[in-house]
Amino acid sequence: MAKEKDILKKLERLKDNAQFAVPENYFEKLPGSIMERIKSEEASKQVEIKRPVIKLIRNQLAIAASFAALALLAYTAIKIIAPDKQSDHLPLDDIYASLEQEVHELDEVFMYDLVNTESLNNANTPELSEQDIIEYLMEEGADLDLSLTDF
Amino acid sequence: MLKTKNKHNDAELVELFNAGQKEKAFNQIVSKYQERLYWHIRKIVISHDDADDALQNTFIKTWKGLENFRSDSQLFTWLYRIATNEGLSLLKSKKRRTLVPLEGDEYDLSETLMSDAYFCGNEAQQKLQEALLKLPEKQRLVFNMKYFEDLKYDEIAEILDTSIGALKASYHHAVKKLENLLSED
Repeated sequence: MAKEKDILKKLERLKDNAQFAVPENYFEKLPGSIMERIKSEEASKQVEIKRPVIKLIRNQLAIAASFAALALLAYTAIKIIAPDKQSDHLPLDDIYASLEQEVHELDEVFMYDLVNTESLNNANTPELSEQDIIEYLMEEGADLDLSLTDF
Repeated sequence: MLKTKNKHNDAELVELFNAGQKEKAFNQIVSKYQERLYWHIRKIVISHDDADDALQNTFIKTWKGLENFRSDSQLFTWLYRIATNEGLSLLKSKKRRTLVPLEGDEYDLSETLMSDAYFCGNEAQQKLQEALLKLPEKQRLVFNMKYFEDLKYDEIAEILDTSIGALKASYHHAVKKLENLLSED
């Protein structure tokens, strides 16, 4: 017990905090520094409140951007790995539909353009007279008025 | 009547704050408690810079929480609780950042003590202070509050949210440990 009293008496030397110092006028300046910090925190909070929409959708925007980047990467990778294989994957139905549409577009004007092309004129075909052609067309029931005036 | 008085008691200061005179009331609270809370935190964290940080955070939290403060507990107990938490949290974060795993916490605080520009104790005070830093954290906290800050056990119990029995045990163990540490010299 006496020892305990002795120890506590020794520790009394620390009771006045004299071993610790503080900067000059620290306590005089402290309330002002604290108020300054509070005001600056409140001002920055105000700025954040003005931009809540961006803050709210920031995560969604980031996710969307990630998906777009992934899609672009995948597309680029396919282009590099198999550049010619893309047409193989066209569905057959699409190919038939496309061909059918092209056949229907074969009208007289298209045929006229085809006959008039230089490559066909120079092609190695048997000699046909105008009479031969007219007879062929009459047999086929073609509209002679249109065809003959254009020739 | 509230507006004309210069000095208010704690309940009046809280009332003044909630009545809209926030800055006036708050400045009075800071002026009234800053020194007590500073020394309480300084004994926990030892360095002045850390004490300053923790004290400013304490008052900023006070500003933010005063609106919801329940007047059935004492303002000073509430402030002490915030200050204690701030001091201990700061100490914890400093320990986590320490990259010297073989050294104990006591060594850390002794180093802090010696490197603090605002420690101006003599050799005897330094030895006593170092002995205190060798106590486990909770014992040191209880000893400081009881012996140096003259707080009553029931006040400490409310601040630390613990039982009076546990506090008395902690204080007793702290004194015994100090006896051993200081009789070694």
